[in-house]
Amino acid sequence: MATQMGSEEEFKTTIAEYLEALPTQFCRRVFSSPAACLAIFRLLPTVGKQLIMSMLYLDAPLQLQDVSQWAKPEHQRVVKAKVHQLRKLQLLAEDAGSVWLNPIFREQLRNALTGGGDFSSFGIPYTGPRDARVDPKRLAKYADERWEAVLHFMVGRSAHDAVTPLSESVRDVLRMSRLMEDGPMGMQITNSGFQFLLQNAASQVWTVLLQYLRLAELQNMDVVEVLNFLFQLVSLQLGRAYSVEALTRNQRKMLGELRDFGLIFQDERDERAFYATHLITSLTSSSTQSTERSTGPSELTTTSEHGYIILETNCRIYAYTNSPLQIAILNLFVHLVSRFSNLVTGAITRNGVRQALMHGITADQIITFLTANAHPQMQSRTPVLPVTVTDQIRLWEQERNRLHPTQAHFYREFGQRQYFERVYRYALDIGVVLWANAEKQQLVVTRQGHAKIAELFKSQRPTNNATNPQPPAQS
Amino acid sequence: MVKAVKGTFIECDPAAREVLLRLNSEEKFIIEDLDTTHLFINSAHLQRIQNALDELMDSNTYTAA
Repeated sequence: MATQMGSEEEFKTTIAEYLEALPTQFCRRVFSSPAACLAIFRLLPTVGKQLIMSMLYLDAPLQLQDVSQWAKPEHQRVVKAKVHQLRKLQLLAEDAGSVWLNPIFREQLRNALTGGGDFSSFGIPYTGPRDARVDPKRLAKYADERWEAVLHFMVGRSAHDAVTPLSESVRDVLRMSRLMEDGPMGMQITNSGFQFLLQNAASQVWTVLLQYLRLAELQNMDVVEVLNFLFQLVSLQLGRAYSVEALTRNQRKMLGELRDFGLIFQDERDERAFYATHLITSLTSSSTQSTERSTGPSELTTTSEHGYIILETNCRIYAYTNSPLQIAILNLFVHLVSRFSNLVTGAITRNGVRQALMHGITADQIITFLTANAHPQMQSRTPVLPVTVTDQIRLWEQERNRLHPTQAHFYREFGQRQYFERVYRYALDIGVVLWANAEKQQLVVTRQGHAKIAELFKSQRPTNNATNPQPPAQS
Repeated sequence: MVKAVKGTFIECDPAAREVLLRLNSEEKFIIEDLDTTHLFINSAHLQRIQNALDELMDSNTYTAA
């Protein structure tokens, strides 16, 4: 899991894969909810959005050539590619040169935009007696508490503030997403878990939501229900009470599990209403802004997440924070020296960074984390962090990677020169050559390459010609 | 007949290669020395030689404290 996991991009591609793989029946059900259509529309790239918008209020099919006319000649390839992509997502239908929008999708998207139709998929507001105590501040406090409890659990610092043990469902999600695994002394954090800790909150929330999608698959739950619920969640408004009336049993179960993460708030005494916290509502607001601003200050930042780290050119770190969680996270790669009432100091040392590297955290992640949490005074400089320190962290990473090993097979003693040439040319064609020496007639290919080459020669065996080479003998 | 050997292909810098050659003289793991920057070794020893290289880098590091 070396790539940016749980980020928006991964969520988008997973949703895209899902929709592509869904049979038409299911797609119809997903599209029959206006919230789902709107959410899917928001997840599309700009060109896709443009195409859909243009076709939204046209009832008749369009000619494909007319669609291509919308773009300048040099960009027509892009338009064609987008049309193809939308077709794969079952949003567009094509027949004999004309295209039209999936009628159900079209209908419901219009409803979503104009507020008509059945808007229960956006969440029915709760009309019962409102609990006056539930205000945005309390919601924020609740969300932060629960989210920090989860992160605390991962870092392993449960000695601080009597932390209520996490519910089984939260632990299941952590286990399923391979962020933690069962060890001899309870659950232990994995390498991906360490990387998860260093990400910003938005990416973390996306990861959790993604897990629900996967969990649903595994438990044979109705995927459409889960998808619809996810899309509904993402379009909820902060601070409004929503009723659980319209939700199915499975969705209510999901609601309970998400409550443990701090994404949803539900008062125990009155379970008919639920509220979305800022963790969820900021997901769509940040997604309508530019996509890759995840390292910049987003609306997700509460006062505690505002930049607090100062990094000097001599690798000394001063972190103005009191939160045990943030200190624990810093402890992953910083050698902390002293702690004051509002400040923690330490230094970035070779040992500290090596410990982190051995846990699977990469130098880039450390640097991204420091940049994202840098004090506002640091952020006004370019580059944000001193170049000396970032370079040094990268050098320490390279130090550990002096060898670049690859599993491979080594061929020697070919006998005939033409035999060597044949194998070499074939291996070059399929792109599996790691190293070759024509004078010594030796060749190194990857594991998969070896399998393919062996297959090639096995298939040639039946002819059994004297000049035909035999498959290489295993040794 | 061609001989195919299963193992690990290593790409490294010349200095690391020299270190590996010296380690090899104590316990053989190199199947073939390919050229100045590549080696082919027995996969079972990979972890061991990575540890040995790590220790070497450690011993050549100066810490102020």
